[in-house]
Amino acid sequence: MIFTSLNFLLFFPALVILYYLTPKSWRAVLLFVASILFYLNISPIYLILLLSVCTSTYLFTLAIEKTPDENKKQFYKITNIVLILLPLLFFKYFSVINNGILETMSQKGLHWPLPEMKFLLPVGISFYTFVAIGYTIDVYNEEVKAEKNFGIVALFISFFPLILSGPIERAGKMIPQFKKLPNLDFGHIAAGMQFMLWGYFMKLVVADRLGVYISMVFNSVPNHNGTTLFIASGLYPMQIYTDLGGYSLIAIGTAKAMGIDVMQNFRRPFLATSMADLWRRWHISLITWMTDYIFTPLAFSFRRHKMRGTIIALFLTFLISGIWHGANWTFVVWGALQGIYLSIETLTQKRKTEFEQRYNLKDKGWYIFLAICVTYLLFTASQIFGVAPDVETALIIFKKIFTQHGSPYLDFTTLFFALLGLAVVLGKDINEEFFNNRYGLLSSNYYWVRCSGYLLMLFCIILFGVYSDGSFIYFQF
Amino acid sequence: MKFTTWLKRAVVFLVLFFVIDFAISEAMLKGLNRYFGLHSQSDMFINGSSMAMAGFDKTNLEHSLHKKIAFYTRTGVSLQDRSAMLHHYFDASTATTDIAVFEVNPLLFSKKFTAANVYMLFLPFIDEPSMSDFVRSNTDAKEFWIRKFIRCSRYNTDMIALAIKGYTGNYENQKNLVLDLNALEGLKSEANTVKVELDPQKIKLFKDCVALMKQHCNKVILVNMPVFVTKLRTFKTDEYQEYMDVVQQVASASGQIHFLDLNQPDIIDNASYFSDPLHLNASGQVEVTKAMTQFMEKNNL
Amino acid sequence: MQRSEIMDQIRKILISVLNHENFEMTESLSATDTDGWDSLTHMMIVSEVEKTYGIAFKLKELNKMRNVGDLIDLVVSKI
Repeated sequence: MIFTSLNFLLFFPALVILYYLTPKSWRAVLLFVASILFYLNISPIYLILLLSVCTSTYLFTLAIEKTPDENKKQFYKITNIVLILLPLLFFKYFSVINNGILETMSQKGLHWPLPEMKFLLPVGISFYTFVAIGYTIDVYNEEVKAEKNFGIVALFISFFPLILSGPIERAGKMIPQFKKLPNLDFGHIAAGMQFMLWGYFMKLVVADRLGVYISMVFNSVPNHNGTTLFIASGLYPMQIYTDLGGYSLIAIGTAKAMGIDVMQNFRRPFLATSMADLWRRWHISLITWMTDYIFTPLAFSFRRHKMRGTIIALFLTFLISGIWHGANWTFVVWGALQGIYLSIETLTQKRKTEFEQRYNLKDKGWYIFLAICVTYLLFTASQIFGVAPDVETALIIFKKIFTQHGSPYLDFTTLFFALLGLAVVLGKDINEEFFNNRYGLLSSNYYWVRCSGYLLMLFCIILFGVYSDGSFIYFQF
Repeated sequence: MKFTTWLKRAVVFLVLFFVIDFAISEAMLKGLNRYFGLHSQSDMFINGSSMAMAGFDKTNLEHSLHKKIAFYTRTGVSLQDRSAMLHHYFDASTATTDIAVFEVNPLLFSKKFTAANVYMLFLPFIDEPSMSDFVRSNTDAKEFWIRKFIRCSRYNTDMIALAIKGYTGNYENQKNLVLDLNALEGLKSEANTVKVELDPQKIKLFKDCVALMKQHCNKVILVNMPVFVTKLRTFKTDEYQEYMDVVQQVASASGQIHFLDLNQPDIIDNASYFSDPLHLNASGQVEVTKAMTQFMEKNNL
Repeated sequence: MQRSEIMDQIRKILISVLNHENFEMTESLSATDTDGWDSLTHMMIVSEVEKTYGIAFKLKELNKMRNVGDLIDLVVSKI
């Protein structure tokens, strides 16, 4: 069941009640069972794969810690990483590469022994694979002790709030929490439900509604002019933010209601004043994972090459981040663009700091606003490669935006509610960023004000949430 | 936080939630009832799908006929759905409706006409017996009871818009587009190819609907909604004639029942009356109003 | 070598790489309190420290480093 399904809305309260009724020593077991049931409900066949990853990671991390031989440690680390990476690589990339080779060779009249294939990606594999790899490396780096209890390791890797779309957490933070689950604290439940409310609001009221309009436009690029494409492209980053950001908040809130703290995944990304700043606020768990386990080792290896070394490490890291999203050349271009943006920023950082200091620009409101707008535009441009089905279409979109203007196609009802909801979300972000959360109904000291805020949001979600794809499935003659 | 404080707050929150839930849903239900003319007294009742929705201009028709009209049409409804709508309307009527107008079209008796989530259109009426069974038969128990329990979950933005229209008395639903004839070139080559299904079960259901209307109303008018000529010609001629025979036979079975065929050349040959091959636009509505008025005068209805 | 000497040297390196002096040089100073000291500039700073003292760090050691104090400890252990 996904978070926005009726099943989850019944499963979750039942679980919370059961959780706090269970004696503390058995709670971790309950969570593990719940995680297995959760995964069974979505993807029963691939449960075996998930459990295999847990088992392999458990055994190899113990082996890494036990052996005093440095070479053996390396060997175990690399073996486990390769083992758990193989399924991810297979399911995500094998069929694309295979079908690509098949097509190229048949075009040339040559024979390729394998047939065209298509696999369904096991749910959560991109996430739990990374969690397991991170844990393995942390044990090798002696950042964290190998956990001797298999259940705890398995729970950490398969923890149901996080397994579908993250945030990608670290052993050092989660395992101690699982070993010492807290007492019932109504504050936790309240805080958790607050996160979940915002998450559902962002996802159901804003993201899915924006999605109705945006997919209508991007599904028929040839039929829309540049102005429409510009508007849809401009809204797309907002859609991903409210979608993945909202989903992350639901995940964080679900964990919080059980007294478990999970890292923030988005921190007001569109108030970033540079691309480097944006990447410290956007999909934080993925980027910190990439930084700690890919960028840092690469940059460390290349450090003698100073700036050049850093930039190459940066490029490689973002190329890999791009490919992690999917097996498509568009993601490679996307990754390369992020690399280019950040490289340029790194190269010009010194001069920029000088310039800003000389004119005291960092205190000026208009400068910050300008920086925010430029950053957003750069990000939007790269995201066109994230939404287009192939590079060719992406380039067509760019061309049309610059050359083909006209009156835009606008779905007024959909956009009205979407933008209204978006204004609320951005208002919350601005309140948190610039006003230290002073305003806003939900941060009031008075329960009754907060109560009305909760009720308002709840009814907005029930009334204005998008619960189907917005269209009827009927046979039109 | 003490448990008693938390409990007190939780109870108050829940009570407030259900009170507000009830208040909002009742307000919207009232608006919807006004919009569709349910739970009130009307002189004329029109039932149909999107074709009737696009084809009739309620306000102008009321003006022209000097009658109060209950306009109960929804997009995408099949004959089964419309049967439920009829039961719903008549169960809710406060007094006899003089005339019932029922849209017919060549795909009325089609077996394949399925609508996966059209039942959601009728969720606001789930508390009424006729609609309750209808919704329950179209979904599972879990969804049914959640909708019953949380009243606001029955509504979405479209329905909120309709409820507001009910309160403001705004019944405009015309489209202002005009047919693009170039886009229809392909249809010309499809002449006489499309099957007109005549599922016996559907025909029986249709007869039951007519009987129900006869039972509750003094007169029944079956209206064959206009289809743009090029599109009409795509239907197999002999099968289309069979469909017409069925409808006309039902109409002639009683003096109470009348048949108005709007598929006349002066309407359907004119592309400027259509927003798409099956739906009229604002200009087309004017023609329909004219045709209805003339028909009713001629037949002393 | 005195810790204060090493700290002074590190201060010079930070100013050179980050191009500003907006930080208070204490043993508890960390990347999070310092403008511009992020994952991108970190390795350049580390590399300069290595060059200055003719030492080589291991990645494991760097990962455990939390602030300037830890860095100084690391340098002291290597020279």
